[in-house]
Amino acid sequence: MAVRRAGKSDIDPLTDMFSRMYILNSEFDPLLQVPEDIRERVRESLEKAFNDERNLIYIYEEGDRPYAAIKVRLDDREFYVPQRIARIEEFYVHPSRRRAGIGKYLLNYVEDDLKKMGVSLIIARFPSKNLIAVSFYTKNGFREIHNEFAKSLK
Amino acid sequence: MDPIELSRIYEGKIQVFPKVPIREYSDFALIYTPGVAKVAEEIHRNRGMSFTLTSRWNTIAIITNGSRVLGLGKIGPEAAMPVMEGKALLFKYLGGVDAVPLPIRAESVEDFKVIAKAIEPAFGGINLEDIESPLCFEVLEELRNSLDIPVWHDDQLGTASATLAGLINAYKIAGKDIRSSKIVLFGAGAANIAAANMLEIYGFDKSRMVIIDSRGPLYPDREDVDRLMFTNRWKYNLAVTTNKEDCRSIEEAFNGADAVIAASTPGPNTIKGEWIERMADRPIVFALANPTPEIMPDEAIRHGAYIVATGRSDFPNQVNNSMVFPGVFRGVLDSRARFISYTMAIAASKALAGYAERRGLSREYIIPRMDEWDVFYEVAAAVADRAREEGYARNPLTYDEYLELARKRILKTKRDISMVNFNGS
Repeated sequence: MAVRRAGKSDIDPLTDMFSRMYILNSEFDPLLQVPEDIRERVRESLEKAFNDERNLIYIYEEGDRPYAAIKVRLDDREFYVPQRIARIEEFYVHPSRRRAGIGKYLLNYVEDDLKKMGVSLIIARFPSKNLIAVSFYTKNGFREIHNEFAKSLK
Repeated sequence: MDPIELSRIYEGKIQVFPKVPIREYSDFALIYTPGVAKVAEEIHRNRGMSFTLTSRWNTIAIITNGSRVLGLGKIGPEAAMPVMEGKALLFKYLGGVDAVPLPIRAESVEDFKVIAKAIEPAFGGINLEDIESPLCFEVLEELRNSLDIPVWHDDQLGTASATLAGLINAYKIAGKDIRSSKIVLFGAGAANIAAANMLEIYGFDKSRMVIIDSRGPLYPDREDVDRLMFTNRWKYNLAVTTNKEDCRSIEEAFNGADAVIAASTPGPNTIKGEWIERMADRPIVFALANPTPEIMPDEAIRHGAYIVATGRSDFPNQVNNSMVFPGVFRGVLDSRARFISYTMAIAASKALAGYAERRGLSREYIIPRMDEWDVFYEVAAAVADRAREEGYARNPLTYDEYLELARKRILKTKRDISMVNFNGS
């Protein structure tokens, strides 16, 4: 299993994987609908991300084909300690490689890297109805600390 | 005759008929209270006796919520009743099984579970029927795991068993090897999803199967596969375990395929002749949609098909669940099985295939015909025998004993039916 930091040359597969993640999220709630140009937006966001060192992007690959990717963003919380945190913003494992422990492997790799950087808290955000994600993070030692409620004003 | 007229004349298709005669006044006290209290006490002491002292041993429920009835769609439980009554008649006539039609108001897996658990004490088995996909997968899985009587979904397991039976012989005649063969499953509904799983357990290589749905072949990269993980995990599992070749178009899927199993939309032009031409030597074509096969047999043969099967009795090689369910239920009831496993269903397929082989296989005879009654005894005995081997039988007998029991019970039913005065009401 090979995990490495992603570079600008990985933008194509990363765009594909993260777009798929947002499209999947849109299944869970009408308030998570994605725009038509989701792929262009993800690509743009990635291009920016590579110019901002607070973003860490990792790729899992077999041979030279990427099968999973994760993007975390380093952030500071104003009113809580520890202040320095990492937030998982995008995380995708290709269907053909699921249930094989690759998500866990990638997550552990990132956690180890973060620890070396002195980051002691990692936060994940995902649709609350994504029960597979709930189960994944729970099994990997995460717990619920915030709720995000939404109400349409239309 | 018009089917509505028939239903009007007979006012339905089945009725409850007594087995015990009333010969004199005192018989009432024997059959009902006070005499029956002793029987009730006996069963209270040992609940298993309900299979011996009541009709439970031979009684099953046909449960549907009317959400996918024939090709009619979601027509509701009341409208599903005539179909379930017809099925009950077939159960009795072909398998000697007393089947109670039970269309229910149920929307969710939880509804089905509560209802099935509630009625379990009265039945020796449950046949699920005409439930929409993917709900039917969840319901079957849940009920199989939570009840202590066998649960079967005919649209999945019955059709899959018949398909496997036909394939076993078709492969023999065509001289094809099962392990290395490429199969196209055209249609991704209940029947084909069950077929894919059953074929794999039998020995076919799943990675060499290609499942085609209304959007084309399933492959892990397909955009909607992520969603399937949540909306239909059975189809999802196939999307990520089949199609190693990564076929993206229907044409690619048919290239070099040994067999196509179509259980999709009625034809006649759902499957194109030119796709058959892309298949390997001596291609096997199962076009099982009713009332019209996905491709008509003569058309398939014109394009090179070596063996063709359909779901219809007016063409050779009828692959139909009616060949399976009467024997399967006869077998699980005679063995008082707690469960029907995939391998028990495969035992039914092998029994069907073996019967046809003994009679002499040909391109136009790969599976027994509906009027070869004695095949049902063999299916029943094979299923019962397998139930005993797997430890599910509460009434463990030998294969020959099961065979004799099935024959006796089915023939008795035929005799009983022949004595009924069918003059309507």
